[in-house]
Amino acid sequence: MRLKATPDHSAPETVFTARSLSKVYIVGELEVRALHDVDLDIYGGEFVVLLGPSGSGKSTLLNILGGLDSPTTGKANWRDHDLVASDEAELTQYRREHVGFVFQFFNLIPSLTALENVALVAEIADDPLDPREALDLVGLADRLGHFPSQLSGGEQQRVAVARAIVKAPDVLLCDEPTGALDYDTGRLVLSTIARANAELGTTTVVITHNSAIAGMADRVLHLAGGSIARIERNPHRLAAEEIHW
Amino acid sequence: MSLLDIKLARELVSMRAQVLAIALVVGAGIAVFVASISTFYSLEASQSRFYDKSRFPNVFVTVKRAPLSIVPRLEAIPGVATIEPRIVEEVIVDWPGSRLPVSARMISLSDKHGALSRLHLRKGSAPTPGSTDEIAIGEAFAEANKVEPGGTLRAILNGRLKDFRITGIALSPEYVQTLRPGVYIPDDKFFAVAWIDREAAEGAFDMEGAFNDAVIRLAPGADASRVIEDLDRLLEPYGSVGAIERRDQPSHRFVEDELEQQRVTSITVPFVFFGVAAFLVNIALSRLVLAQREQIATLKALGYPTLPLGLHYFKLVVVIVTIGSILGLAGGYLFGHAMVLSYRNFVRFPVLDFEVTGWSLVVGIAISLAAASLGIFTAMRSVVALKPAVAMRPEAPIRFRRGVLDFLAPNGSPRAKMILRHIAGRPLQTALTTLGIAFAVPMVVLGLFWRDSVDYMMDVQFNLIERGNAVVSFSESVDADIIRDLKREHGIMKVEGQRYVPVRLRAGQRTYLTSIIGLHEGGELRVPRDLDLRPIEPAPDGITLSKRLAQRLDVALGDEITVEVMEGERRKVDVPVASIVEEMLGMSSYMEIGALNKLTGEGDVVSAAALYIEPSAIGPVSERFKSLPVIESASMKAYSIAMFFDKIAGLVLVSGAILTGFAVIIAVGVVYTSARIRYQERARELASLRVLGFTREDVSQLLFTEFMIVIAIGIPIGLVLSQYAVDLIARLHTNESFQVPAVIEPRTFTLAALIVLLTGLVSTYALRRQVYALDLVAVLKTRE
Repeated sequence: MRLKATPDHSAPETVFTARSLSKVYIVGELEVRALHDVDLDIYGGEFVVLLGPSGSGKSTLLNILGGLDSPTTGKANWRDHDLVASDEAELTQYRREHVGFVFQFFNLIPSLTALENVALVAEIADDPLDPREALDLVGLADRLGHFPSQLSGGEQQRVAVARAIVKAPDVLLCDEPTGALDYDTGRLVLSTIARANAELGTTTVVITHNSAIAGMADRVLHLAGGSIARIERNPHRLAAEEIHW
Repeated sequence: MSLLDIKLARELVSMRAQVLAIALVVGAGIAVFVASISTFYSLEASQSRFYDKSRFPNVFVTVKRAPLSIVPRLEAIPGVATIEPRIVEEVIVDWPGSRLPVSARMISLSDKHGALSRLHLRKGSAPTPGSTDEIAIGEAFAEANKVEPGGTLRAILNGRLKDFRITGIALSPEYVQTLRPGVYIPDDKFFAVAWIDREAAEGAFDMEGAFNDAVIRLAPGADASRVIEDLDRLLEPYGSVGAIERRDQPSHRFVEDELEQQRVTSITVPFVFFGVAAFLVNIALSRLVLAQREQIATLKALGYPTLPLGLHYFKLVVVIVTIGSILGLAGGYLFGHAMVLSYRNFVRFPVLDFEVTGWSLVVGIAISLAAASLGIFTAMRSVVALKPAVAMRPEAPIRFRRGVLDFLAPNGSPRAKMILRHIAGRPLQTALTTLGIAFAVPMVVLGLFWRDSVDYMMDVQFNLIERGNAVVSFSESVDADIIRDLKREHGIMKVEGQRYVPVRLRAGQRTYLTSIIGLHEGGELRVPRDLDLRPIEPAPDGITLSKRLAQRLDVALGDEITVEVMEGERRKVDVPVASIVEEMLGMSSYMEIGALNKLTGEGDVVSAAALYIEPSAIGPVSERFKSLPVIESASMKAYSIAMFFDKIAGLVLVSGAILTGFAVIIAVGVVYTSARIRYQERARELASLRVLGFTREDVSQLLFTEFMIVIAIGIPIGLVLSQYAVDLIARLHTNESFQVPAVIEPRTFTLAALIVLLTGLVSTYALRRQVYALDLVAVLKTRE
């Protein structure tokens, strides 16, 4: 029997709801089932880790949650936003107002300094944090005027985290945030993500294939072959400093 | 098909817009090159075919009257192969319905085998030998007056009216371009060339056993100047004004001038077009290769040798150049065809067809291929020089710095800073894009400025220099009293007598056949202008030369030149150059009329008059001219201007318009390619912004603003370059018939700038589609 990540009786408010979510890519004459009949609920302020090997469907799921892709069938809602029925402009609006992204390869704007990269997003947000405050939160208060080319990979990723949280998003979506980083830097970045989750109460979803990170989550969804294979609940969340790989 | 070829095919399809843009630029370069060179060779081939077939003479001589008995002595001159004595007379024609006096030059025809200057009959037949009332007339006049064989031409011969039956319409190599002496604008409607049988001419002009004109064909290798010396010696007693070589024959000189100009055009304009096109293709392709840096490195890492990879990109070049060549050949054929067509009513050859000159196509394609390949290979070399491991890593991010342009927006938003730093942070790319756009401007200006140039030319010549609205010439030099008589005519407000004296000007080895125009001091109807266009008086003690004539003779102010008068007593006098004047049409010279008459040894005579006729009276006055036998011809300014636009300016403006078309194609190619490359270099960054919540419009606007700033820098640079380009082209195009002033009106600058700006807007608009289709998901997964 397929496992369904449906609401728990003790759960707080549900922010994401997905029902019978399926995604089929047509590649040439081949149908690739990236997601298969997924039911999912994510609660406000929760820290969720999506764990799975490549091809398990975790990125597809994240893309749908982030309003970057739409499912082939099924329903996906962010609170009362219907992510399936939204058009491109509504999805952009959704991303702008509610979602913070952290990418594996940082995707900073090379021509802007750390502060300006963060301010760029603050500019289009409704009620943003002070960009300096966001950078302070990720421990980069002293690197404000540096360009990406003058920052280490870890520092760049922390700028990316600051950029994601500056608009005080409802949800922070991180796609392999440590994938391009070494061990120490990776942990530093994870701790800033955890801090944002804890201090701002931002619902956080992290994609990774690194199972060590799972220890930091409230819930761990194991994906395999496009379905949720297993759900793990951590009674005790580990701090970034406590995990090893 | 190898895998690399499949890759190539797919990439060509996915890059089709870019491929087409680059191919268009290549095609425009090839088209202009092929059309210009082929037009030149088509004209030259038509000319030489006609000259050969019709046996165009090498030497021409005019005498007062010489007996035919002297002909054997002329034939015996070493170097003379054939000589043909003729009777040539200017007559007045009574042409019903003509507004102005019509005159004709009648030329006797020989039925001898091997005759020179043989007619090419367009319609009908030549006058029957022995007939006294048959005539063939030149095609230019026939077309302008819609004359067909069977019609009648009534001429006044020795004071008697005589009707000739028109038997044929013909072309002659001596009248490929029919210009009246001293006139630079064709006058087809009022000036005819006509041929009658020799016997008829003898009778009509009382020339039995005599001739007054001869044409000579030289033996191969003969020295023309030797022959001319002998001819002049033998014919001087008969009133020869000196034989001339082919290069001084008016029609030939005009056609040669035109050919020379076409030759210059066929080199310079394509050089500019081609240079720019090659440069752009080079840049576009090298950036295209650099964009595939990682792919190339990966293939290298997988063990692909460099050669097949190089070949792979070379094939890309071959495909683009092939498409460009096909477009170029088609465009060149159409352009060349149009140019040759517009020459047809301008130079009259029996056959004037456009033929593509094979080598021009080969050279055009080779240059394009070379320029494009160079772009590919320089880029390839920079990639393969790196170790695959290094090349597979993304290029080190550009080290942006604060400062260079930040001062423009000190408190600007991050978006403004992003734009400014992108422009300043990639100085080389920005410079190349700016330069590409800057180059597009002069190309458009080079097509458009002709209108300004022609307008300026017309203004100077017909408003500042020739201030009257008509000129009449008399059949011979007449007493200046005629001016008083003309003044009494109703409707003539102002009359000024002029004297045209045919001369050969000599300065050392350089000579030029022209006329000296004698003007009265204080004259108002013909006002020579100095180089700053201020009016100056013809000096009484020297000669005034037009700037181009002074250049041609290589003389400066104060230098002495020899004036050899070609009529009357044929005096030779040394005179100093008293002033140099600006003149747009022809190469004139001036003297004060009294001084000129003294020089020729005549009294107070005039041979022409400039008039100002009250505009409402032009019709009746013209009618009146027809009844005054002393008036051989009259030219009305309005008609001259119309003819100028119809013939000379029409030709220039047609090719200018077509060049503008090609320039716009190049501009579109350049601007679109530049915009596209700039977009490609930023696609990932733009997609990231989209993911972060920027709307499509936000992102488009970012790209748009940045590109518009580059255009705003490029256009002024282009405008400055335009002035240099126009100066160069104008200088190269100035010839004996007319000067091309390097004038660019603000409207042309504005229009050129707007055209380039518009292509920029259209290009960036086209890129919106790309922005809209940005793959947001891919951004999350790929590294830089």
